[in-house]
Amino acid sequence: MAVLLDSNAPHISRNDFDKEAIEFLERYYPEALQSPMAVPILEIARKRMGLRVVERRLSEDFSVLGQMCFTSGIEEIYVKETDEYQSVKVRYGTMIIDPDTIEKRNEGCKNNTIAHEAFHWHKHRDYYIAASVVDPKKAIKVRSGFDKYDESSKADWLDEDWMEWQARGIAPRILMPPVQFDDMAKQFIEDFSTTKFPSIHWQSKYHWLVNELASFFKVSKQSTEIRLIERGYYLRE
Amino acid sequence: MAGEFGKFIDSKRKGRGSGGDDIKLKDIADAMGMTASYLSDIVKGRRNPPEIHILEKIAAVLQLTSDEKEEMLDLAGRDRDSAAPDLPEYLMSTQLPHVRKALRRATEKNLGDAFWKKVCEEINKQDEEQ
Repeated sequence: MAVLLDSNAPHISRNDFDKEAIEFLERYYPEALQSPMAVPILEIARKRMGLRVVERRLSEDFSVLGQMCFTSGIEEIYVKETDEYQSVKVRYGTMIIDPDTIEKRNEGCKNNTIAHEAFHWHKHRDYYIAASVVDPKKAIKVRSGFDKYDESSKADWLDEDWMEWQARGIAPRILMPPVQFDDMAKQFIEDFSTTKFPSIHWQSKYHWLVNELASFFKVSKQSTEIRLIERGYYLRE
Repeated sequence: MAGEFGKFIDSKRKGRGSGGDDIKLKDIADAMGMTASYLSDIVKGRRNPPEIHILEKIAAVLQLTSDEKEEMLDLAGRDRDSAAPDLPEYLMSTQLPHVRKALRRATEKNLGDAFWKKVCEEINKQDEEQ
């Protein structure tokens, strides 16, 4: 594990991602740790965290999914109708979600983006606010996109890269907490083996399981598949 | 007419990106070292065209031909109610008083474009001789 010795960014190892997700839920929505459920992340962001969640297009090429604003100020949004960027005033604690980008994906993607930005607010707010005081030119917002992180170049990562990596890893775990995810996975597997479609090949069973879990937790299928692997559910070759 | 520069920039970014996509406003703004909303204001004619060193960057990112670049500079000058921004440095050089003298005489005599076409041909001959 790389440790940020010269940084004020929170140090979180990959092994602690589940722990961080649980701490987040314990603080803002402990109900989700009592029994499996689709975590109502938008409600959590608005009502439990006090964030202002607004929908605005953030880029012309759908490259930005969401943005968390850590201070009040001027931000840029893209206006599709007139094909231009405009400056708008935003308040401290505003989360901007791009509705068009998410429309191109699915509800699970939207929930993941909200969880991602909410985690930035929860864990990285102090860093960004302090950084903006030390260096007024420093970004006081964080934008999240689709691009993959090249983990082979971790040695060169800046604080922002580490915090983005943390939010990307922890957001799906907030939506699919480990114990509750395992409970539902086991239940679906049991349902399947006892009552459902006994003649279907395991490959199809796996896809059925992914669909059921994604639908239950209101997350994307891709995110569910990654979570299944993380939790030790493998598809045999 | 104000706003022609912006329309020109907007038209030249269409289909010139990788794979035939439009060059993104964000990419042009990044090349200019300005915000995308500032560029949008220019494109929509709400702000004057930028200074010459920024225009050079726009020409590079849009991969303009030399003719297109000259057209862009002319439009930038017109939108600012001034000469094309690549000209004043040469025009006002203290080393070249005859440039201004010639232009003033041409103005007094109301010389048309045919005259300046001949001047251009003369200049081009200089290129060939060199």
